[in-house]
Amino acid sequence: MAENKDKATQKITLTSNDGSSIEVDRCVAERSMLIKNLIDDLGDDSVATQAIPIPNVNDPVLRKVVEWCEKHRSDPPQSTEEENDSRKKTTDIEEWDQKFMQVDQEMLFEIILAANYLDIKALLDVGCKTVANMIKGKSPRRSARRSTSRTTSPRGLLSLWSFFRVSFIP
Amino acid sequence: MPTFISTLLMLSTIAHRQASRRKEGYPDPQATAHDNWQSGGPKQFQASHGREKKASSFCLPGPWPKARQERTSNTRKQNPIGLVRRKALLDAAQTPKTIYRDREPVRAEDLDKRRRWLPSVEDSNGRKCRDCPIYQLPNELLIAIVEYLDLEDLWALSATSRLFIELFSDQLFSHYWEPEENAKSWAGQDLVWKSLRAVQRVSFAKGQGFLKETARVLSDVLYCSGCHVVHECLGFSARQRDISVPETKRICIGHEGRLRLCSHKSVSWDDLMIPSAPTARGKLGKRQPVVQLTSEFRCLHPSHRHGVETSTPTSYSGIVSPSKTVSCFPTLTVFRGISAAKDRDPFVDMVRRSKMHMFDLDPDRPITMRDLERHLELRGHRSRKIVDSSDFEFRTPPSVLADEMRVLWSPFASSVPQAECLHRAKRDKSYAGWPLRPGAAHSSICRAKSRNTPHPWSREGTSVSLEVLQEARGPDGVLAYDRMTMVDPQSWGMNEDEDTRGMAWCNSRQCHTNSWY
Repeated sequence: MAENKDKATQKITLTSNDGSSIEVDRCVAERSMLIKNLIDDLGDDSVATQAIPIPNVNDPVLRKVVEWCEKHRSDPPQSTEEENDSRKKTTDIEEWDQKFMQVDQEMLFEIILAANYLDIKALLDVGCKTVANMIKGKSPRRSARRSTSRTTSPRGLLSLWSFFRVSFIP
Repeated sequence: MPTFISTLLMLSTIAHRQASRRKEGYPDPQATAHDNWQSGGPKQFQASHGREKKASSFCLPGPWPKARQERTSNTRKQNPIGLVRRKALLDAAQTPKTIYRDREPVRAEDLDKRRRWLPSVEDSNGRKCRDCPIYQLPNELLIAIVEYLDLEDLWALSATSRLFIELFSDQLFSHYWEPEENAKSWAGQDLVWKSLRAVQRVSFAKGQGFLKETARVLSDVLYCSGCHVVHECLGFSARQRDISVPETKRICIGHEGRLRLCSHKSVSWDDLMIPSAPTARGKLGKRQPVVQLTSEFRCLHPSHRHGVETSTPTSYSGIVSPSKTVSCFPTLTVFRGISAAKDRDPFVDMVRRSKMHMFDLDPDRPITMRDLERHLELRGHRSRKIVDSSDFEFRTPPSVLADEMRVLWSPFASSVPQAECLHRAKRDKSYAGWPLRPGAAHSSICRAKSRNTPHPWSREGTSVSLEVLQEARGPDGVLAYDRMTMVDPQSWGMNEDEDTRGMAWCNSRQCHTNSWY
């Protein structure tokens, strides 16, 4: 038991592609199947001594992902059976997750990509649901009109509008 | 005792026959039902089921053999019996969301080929589509996102960019638009984006045979109990086309609808056949047809009182009208008689005539046509002219050219390049195979009083009026298409007909025919 607790609170260092490193608990890091398999393969000792490089993810996105993982550190792992049943039915998102996903579009898509890369199923689902909710209930015409009325939008808003501007105009 | 022996013999022969059949590979009748559920049905049944499946789904010429095989083998295991499968599909069609959820997952690697070219279209800011973050997602993730969407959202999304069109026009999504089932679910759904759907129908289904199917259905014929002949489906309202209407009671729009004289008065077909004027007898000359029955209707609403009476007009077929004077009250005259031809066919000749007071002029000054038009514009009569004359113009619901099953005209003419409007541009030409033949009906919209007069305007004193003459002629007892076009489309509920929407009528702003209805 004590050993288990040690494992859970053992610190692991993750390095993003721009060189900055983040220290997280082991159980938090193991939300990612990629890292979990990596630790299983490498063994505990080598993980404790050296940082794990995450080459496809940059620093802000990695921090965001770690934030999500820390919030969901105690979630039970989903079994594949249950997942198949429940996954496709609903686009309801928990409140915390909704707030968590209120980021700009590029960040959102980067989070999705990172979740995909790190193999965090639940986070990937949340991201996909968020994008689906953005698409839902919109007609292409309405979105197009909304974006054209904003032709002189400030630079900062561009990224926010870019999703609808580009993908909703045929 | 001998009966017992013979029964034994019979039993043994039956058993023997069954055994030999089993050897030859015939299915054991008792074990068949069990086997069906275990192994997916006997061989010949599987084959026929496979064929049925192929026929009922759209087949894009695309290289997807692997996915296809997997899917068919799966469905075979689940539904060995075609009827069961069909019933399930029908049930699913009523609740379209279940179609979506029950479908098998889309394989990401199948989409890679579609993804190979990314659209390089630039938007107004000079950025390319591939700059958009959503394009940087791999196909698996796109599919994962799309799995949460409903059918309507899918349509909307696929209307936004070519990537999604490519994705969803793929065969992997073919279960969305398998012909009959989806047509049903579409008709039943109350969608927000009806127009969008119609666009989708045109642009997607043009190459896919969906419109072809609709055009084929509409150019099919139904028996009309009023005329005792068959008409094309377009000649029936949606109510009458319904299967529940017995054939002996089904009537075409000519019988169902009403002929509109003006905005105040309309006449039903039964009214038309009651003689209101005493029977007029024409001369039994060599070429003069004989009129046996005349009925006349006119609207005496005070708003028509402006005109003056004019000299006697003649009808289309050269019969002297029994009413000597024509006021500006709109009239509809029906002549029934025998034609002068050798076979002496009975005919019905319907003439709708009206005169509209347009404006008053300076009495000392002669007017020309140009003056007239200028007056119209200067005095703001244009709107009135348009409103009033549309009352008298033809309200034909044509636009489907059944010839070669091609849609010549569509309400979305701007989006379909080869579409053209048949209404104004080419109305004088006749089209073979057109369900509602234009012919004479289309060319006689605003006919001048006599053939030499270039325009239907007339001047009496200070009053200028527009005379409108419309006639339709055909054999007695049968409603010709010309006469169907005189029927007011509102009276038989054309605008409630969802099946022919976008094919025969439309009230969209962009439509050429919008002002007609």
